[in-house]
Amino acid sequence: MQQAVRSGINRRQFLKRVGAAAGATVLLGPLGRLTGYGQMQKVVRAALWQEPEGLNPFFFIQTASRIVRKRVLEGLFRIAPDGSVVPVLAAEVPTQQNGGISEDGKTITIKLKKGLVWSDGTPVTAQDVVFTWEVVMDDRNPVSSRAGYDLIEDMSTPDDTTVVMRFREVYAPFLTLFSVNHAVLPRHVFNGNTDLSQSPFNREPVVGTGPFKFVRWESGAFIELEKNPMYRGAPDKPLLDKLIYTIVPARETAIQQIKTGQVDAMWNLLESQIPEFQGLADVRLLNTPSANLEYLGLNLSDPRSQDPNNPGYTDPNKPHPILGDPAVREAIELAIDKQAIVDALFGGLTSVAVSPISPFHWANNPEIGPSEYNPDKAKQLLDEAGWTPGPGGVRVKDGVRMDLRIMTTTGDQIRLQTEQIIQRYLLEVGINLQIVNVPSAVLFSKNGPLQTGDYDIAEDTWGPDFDPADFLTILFHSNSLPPNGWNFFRINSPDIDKHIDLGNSAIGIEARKPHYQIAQKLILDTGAYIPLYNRSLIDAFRTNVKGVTEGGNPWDDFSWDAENWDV
Amino acid sequence: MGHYLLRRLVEGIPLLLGITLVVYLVLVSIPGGPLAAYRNNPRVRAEDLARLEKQLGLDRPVHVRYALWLGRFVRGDWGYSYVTRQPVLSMIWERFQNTVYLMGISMLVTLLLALPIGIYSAVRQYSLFDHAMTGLAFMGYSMPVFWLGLLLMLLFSVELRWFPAGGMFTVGEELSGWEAFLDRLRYLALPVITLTIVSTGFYARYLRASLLDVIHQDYVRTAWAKGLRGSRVIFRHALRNALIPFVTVVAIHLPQLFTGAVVVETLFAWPGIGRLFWDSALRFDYPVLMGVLAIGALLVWFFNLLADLLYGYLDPRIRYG
Repeated sequence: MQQAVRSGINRRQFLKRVGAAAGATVLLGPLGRLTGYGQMQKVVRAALWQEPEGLNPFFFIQTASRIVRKRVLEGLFRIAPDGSVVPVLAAEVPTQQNGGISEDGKTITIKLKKGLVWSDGTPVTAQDVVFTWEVVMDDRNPVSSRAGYDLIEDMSTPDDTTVVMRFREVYAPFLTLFSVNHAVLPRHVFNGNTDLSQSPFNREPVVGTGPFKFVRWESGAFIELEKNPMYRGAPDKPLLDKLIYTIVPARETAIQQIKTGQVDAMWNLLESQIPEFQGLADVRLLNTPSANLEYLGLNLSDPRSQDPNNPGYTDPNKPHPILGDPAVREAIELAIDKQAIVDALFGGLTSVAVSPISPFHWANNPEIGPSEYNPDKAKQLLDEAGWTPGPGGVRVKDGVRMDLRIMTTTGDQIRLQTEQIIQRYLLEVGINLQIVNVPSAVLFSKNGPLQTGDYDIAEDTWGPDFDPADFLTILFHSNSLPPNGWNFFRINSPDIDKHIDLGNSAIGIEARKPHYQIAQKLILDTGAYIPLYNRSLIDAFRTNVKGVTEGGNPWDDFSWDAENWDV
Repeated sequence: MGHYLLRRLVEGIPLLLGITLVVYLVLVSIPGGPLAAYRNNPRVRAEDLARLEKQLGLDRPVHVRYALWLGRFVRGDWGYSYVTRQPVLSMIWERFQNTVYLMGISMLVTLLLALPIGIYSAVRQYSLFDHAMTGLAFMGYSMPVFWLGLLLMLLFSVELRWFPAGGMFTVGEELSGWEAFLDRLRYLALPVITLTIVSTGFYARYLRASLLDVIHQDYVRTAWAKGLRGSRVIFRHALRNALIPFVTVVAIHLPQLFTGAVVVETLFAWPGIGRLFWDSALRFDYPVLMGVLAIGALLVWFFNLLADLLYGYLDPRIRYG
């Protein structure tokens, strides 16, 4: 009796409480976090399919983080669509003529624009630049790269708008410091404390100089920016009241949302997604060339060898049994019809790549043209080198059959198709390719095939920044042989090293250019790097967004000109 | 009872420790690691990588890292995300509310549908309704969630434009009161419908089975024989007992309310725990992953215990020793 009563009451109470709690969730949940906006505002919503890590320019490296950050925090310079350097916070681009670069190239003087203010009204001063450098060099901060900053001996500020940087040695890419992918931080917000490792500013940069001001960030949902009334540009800029970056889990979601008008713009489509937009009158695509290109990397070292100095890595001095033969490398490039790949996979939206440095880059060597497609010549080269056709048409030499693995990241349809086409081309000349793709985290990991050298041919995308120094050095310099860098081809050429070094240390772009141009030629001559096609950046806008610069900016992101947007 | 509870609590400690250890080992053995994204960035040089590795403590052996994590975790310090550099606890808390909101409502809708369907199917066993519901139930829970969700999205968002394609509310528009409430409901519709379709069948079938068990027992036949009204027999006599196993099944499934639904949240861009977990997994964010997994393990363990206790509480025939 007692138990029956107990369980009866309990169950009822239990059910009542469950019901009440659930009811409260339904009713209060939706009402819980409502916020109001001013009416009739000009708002653009742009979808990112990747959530930014944070908004500190020095700690986070993903593109999505940079896109949002750049609207709020600015650097000394930025790069215009034509590749020229434009002063932003700086008053002019330092040269030897205007006294910005010293005779020995080691001292750089930068003048800031006069009358600049942060979004809270505080003046921007040279002290902010010095503070930013101190933040980068503070060991407590998780700074992703100190490249260049660690070459600065000291910085001084003769007056409030002048910064003098003294370098230990000539650092040619100095224009990228505090600029492009980096920015200047507001010293007064931190009271001069350079430890930003756990600062809320990393996520909520509430003070900046950019056209927009940070408002709030709802994790997994959106980051809201509003017009910065203190923005130095024309008084009416930006034209929008709000720019909201919405965060979606995948490109597919963003595509559906831009079709329905839930968002007005979306970042970064895949080439294979272009057909989804055909016949849509209210969405248009922005196709921006990029310095990134798809290429094949050929392993010059024997995948089975061991470097006595670096156990676990192949020996760069032990040649690859097949690819170690220069004739084979040349034959592979001759056997591939790159134009046919571009036509088949991209329908004319991109072009054949000719050099690691794209044609529109200032450091490109204009004398380099596309490679020749000539399978007969490829066969002839292989014949002459002693590779004779064996069973199944696959060539053999001294008992070594031409069986090679080609490797790229999984989950990319276009890449897989590229591999399949190349597979057919190479089989025609007697080289058998086996496709073995791995996830990108594996491909690029410390113990991955590229680093250890356990691969034959890799397909990847890479390209230089505005300043090609880092790119050329980390990919092709012998100092960057794994595990010390990304020279996974194992190119070991004193000549290439010399010209990269000269390009990295000469003073002024005109003096650097010829060295990089020679280096490109030498890199292509190794045959270990085969450029395939240029990658472009594809973004989408609804047609109600006006003021978007045609052709985009290869050196920036799709919202680089958001201050000019209007709806 | 007190003794039983104490034993279960003590047993839980090595269990949870074991789970966190295994999970940690699995996580660190996945190739890539938190610095994978930095590795093929030309500006990040070998010396930068070494410095970052040291800062994150990744230069230490795995067992030391686990011990350090555990030591801090039991003291309530969940650490900082490797990726966002934010405190793990606040990252989880921000998403937690959204997950409870979505999962709570879909659980409620599911139960509101499953209860009458289950009862009616049992009472009218082998009727047309029963057969139809059985068919639909199997169809529902054998459908892949991502496929169903995508289909619903294509139909109701892209084609018909009835509901938005993902998100939690309209971003950047002034809405308040009733309008805001309706706006929220529109965003809730598709994820809730998806979750409801795939899980209603399960609960309805379960309730049907357990009610059928009871309906054929002697005391129910006695009740019928006494001439009681049908609804009284079903609701007061049969259902009471049939609900006992049902409640435990619901209790066991409650942790889902907090751990979320990775697929549905990802599909509908819902900023919940499931998506946080997915994003963190892609970025090898060990502290966040460990935080979410530890909460998940703790909740599963807790609700299983709760289900066992509840069962004994509701059914006096069960005794714990």
